[in-house]
Amino acid sequence: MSRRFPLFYLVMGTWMLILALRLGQIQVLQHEHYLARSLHTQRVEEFVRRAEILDRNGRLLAGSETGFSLSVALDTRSAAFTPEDLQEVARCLRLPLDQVKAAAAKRSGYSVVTRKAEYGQIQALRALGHKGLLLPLQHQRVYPYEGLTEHLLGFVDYKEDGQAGLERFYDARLKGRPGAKMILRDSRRASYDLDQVLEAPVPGTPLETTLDIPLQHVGTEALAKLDAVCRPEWASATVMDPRTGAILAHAIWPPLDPGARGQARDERLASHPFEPGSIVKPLLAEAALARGVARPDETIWCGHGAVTLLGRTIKDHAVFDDLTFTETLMFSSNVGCIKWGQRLSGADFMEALHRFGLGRKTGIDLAPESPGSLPPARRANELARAYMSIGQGLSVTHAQVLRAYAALANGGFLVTPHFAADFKEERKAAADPGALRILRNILFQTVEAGSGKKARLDGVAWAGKTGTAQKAVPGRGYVPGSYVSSFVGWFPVDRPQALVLVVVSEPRGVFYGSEVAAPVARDIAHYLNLGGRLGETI
Amino acid sequence: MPRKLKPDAWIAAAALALLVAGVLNVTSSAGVIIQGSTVAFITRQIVLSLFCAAALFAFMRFDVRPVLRHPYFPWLYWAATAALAFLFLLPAYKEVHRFVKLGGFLLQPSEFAKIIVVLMVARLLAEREYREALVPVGTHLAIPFLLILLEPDLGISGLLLVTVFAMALLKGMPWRQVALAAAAGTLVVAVAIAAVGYRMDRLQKFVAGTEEQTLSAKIALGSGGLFGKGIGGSHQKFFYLSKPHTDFAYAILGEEFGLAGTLFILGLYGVIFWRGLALARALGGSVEGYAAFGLTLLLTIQAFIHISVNVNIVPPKGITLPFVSYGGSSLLASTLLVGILLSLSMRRP
Repeated sequence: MSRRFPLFYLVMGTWMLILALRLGQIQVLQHEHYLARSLHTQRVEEFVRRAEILDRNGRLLAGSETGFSLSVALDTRSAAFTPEDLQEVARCLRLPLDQVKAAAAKRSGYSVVTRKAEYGQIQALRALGHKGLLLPLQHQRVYPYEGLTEHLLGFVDYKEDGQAGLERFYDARLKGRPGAKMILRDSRRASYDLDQVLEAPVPGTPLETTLDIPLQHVGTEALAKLDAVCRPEWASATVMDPRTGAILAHAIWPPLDPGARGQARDERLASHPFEPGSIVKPLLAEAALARGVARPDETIWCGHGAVTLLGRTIKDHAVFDDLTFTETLMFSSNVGCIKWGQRLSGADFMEALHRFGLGRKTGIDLAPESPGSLPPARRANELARAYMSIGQGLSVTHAQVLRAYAALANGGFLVTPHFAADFKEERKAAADPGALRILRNILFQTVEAGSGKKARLDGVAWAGKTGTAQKAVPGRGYVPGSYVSSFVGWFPVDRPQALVLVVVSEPRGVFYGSEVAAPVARDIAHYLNLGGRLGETI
Repeated sequence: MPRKLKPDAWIAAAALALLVAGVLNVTSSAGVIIQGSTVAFITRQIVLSLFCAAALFAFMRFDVRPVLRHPYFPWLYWAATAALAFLFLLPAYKEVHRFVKLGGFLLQPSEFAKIIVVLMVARLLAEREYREALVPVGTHLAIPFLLILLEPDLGISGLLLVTVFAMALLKGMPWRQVALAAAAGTLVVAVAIAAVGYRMDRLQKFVAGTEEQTLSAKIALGSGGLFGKGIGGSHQKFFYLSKPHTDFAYAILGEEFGLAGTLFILGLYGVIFWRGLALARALGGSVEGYAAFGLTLLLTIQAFIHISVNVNIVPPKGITLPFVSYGGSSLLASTLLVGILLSLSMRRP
């Protein structure tokens, strides 16, 4: 038996040797060759559609749709193009044949022919059905209420990343998280989908806002009328629910140029502070009433139109002699308000402004937000305080005014102005309820018979205040004839449902807040009051 | 002369190393093959491999010689043959009569039958002169061979045929008969190929060099290079190789561990061959000697065929790599086979 053993060693040994040599050939000598042909995995991101932005009644304010991109490219690596094919492509695109040939000459998986095709041309190319023609789909953001909302919504870039406004503030939420999956590629062929999902895409969460589009429209229309009255630099009208801070409308004039969506941003609401003028007076009045340093019916000597402090004379807009505390506010006497303002200690004075949230961010859902500016306590001397009493020498954002007046309206709670319906609200007690009751009556009379008369409307119980502030220009100080006029108020006075802020920058000719801003507020109140729409909208 | 009981450490070590390679192979490929229950799949193979490792050591303590020499051993042979025949009474699984469902497992009786047939042939050869053994060996081979061939499973039937032929050659088959048998064998194989469409198709593609599976096996091996892409780094497994965990286990190991890995695995089978044949020589012309010889060849020829297919020097033929490929029956059968070798090695004179 053992005589034949060597035969088996020989046969199996030879076989093994052949295998080893063959392995060396494949794995070492031909390694490069096979490596180039081998598959490799690649991680690709899977697009998720950006979520919608809606108004309070579910109207679509911003949405993403899939459409054709206007680029045309050739996959010259995996598909072949005959001269006839290229001629067809050139004909469809109405491009010189040379341009198409140049693109086809490149060995590339994505050789761009043009980025500016037209819709009809894309359709014609689709009809050709050549598989090397790449006609990518792309997502596009659409804004159905063009002309009403772009300053608030902002815009997205080509990657659908939010660049301004709510699109930027809520970018992460709207975008969701793109998924990732593994695909295989080799050098010869296209990719193979492995159905191997690395990360499941997380769709964005739609943003339901507190905005009311019809009201936004009414505000815009009301502002547009200003053009004929005073041709302002700009104007804005904002409506907020003073109980919650929900912003129902924020209209601006002039509207942004729809063609320049790339610049579409309006930061007035949160990041461009202005000197408020007389609308700051009720905040200090609350402090004076709460501290017991003034009573509504006491008489105050209004200096016959002027007061001199530390060598500076401050003039009133009209000559007043004796006015009651109530009347100093109703007619917005600067001297009268400075007088009772002086009764507050420096600390109490500044504390009142801080209490109403001036000088710090409101937390509104827009970015960037400015805290406005209040002078530091050590610089707030008697003269500075006198100026602050009439709303000069400090600056506030629209959001801060809305917040402070919401507190006056709702019984003393600071709310956070916001656009998102599911915004986490925070309420903080900020004012004295007793003082507020008195103040509400004063502001009611201000609209009924005082400076706010032009906002008055039958059947609407307003409480409001006008303001006319000189506008400071950086480097030049206060410029004569340059004003920021405003009206802020709410109704119904005792059960507040709508707080309206109208700001008009640089009105020409007529410029008092009572003349230019109050009528806009009346138009808005008129709409809200029509047929009980107040309850319906808010 | 009594001596201390000591198994062949080389064979034991090689078998254990192959078991480890098998776990790596299944771990790497499983994710692609079984969607959803990858962990269960891998766990099953690991548990089974651990069991097999334990079984090897348990089995070698058991003296198989009395079993081999037992007068009732032929009954075991007939039982195995009957099991093969019984497969044809069962409904076909995936259109073949290869498997029997037992509990949750798919058992492949031919994996075990091939071992029993080799042992039976070893008995027949050891008990008789070559001339008298020829006919009984022929019949005892022919029945299971045909049954397996009809399942159809050309791989295992061919393996069995070649192994028994080698055993007869060792016994002293005259060269004239060798030539005759070789001619007859070639004819049988040719008929088996020609009779079934897909086999012919595969062969033609192999000759033309367009066979998809072997091409991707080469890509897998070739892209692995000297040291491979690392554990789990294989990409070819994803779908180019339709059976990365069974019929193309070697190519995937080559992609992940490179030439270093493939030569190491090849060397392990070389070690089993070398030590197995040394054992057969030491046991002489006894039943145990022929058994050791037959079993060694059965294992190594199967491995070499698998590797040859993977490196594309023979036409593609689906056959598992002992210990490494996924599959309970294949793994258990390989364990049984090496277990017998180790048991015999402990008690060699």
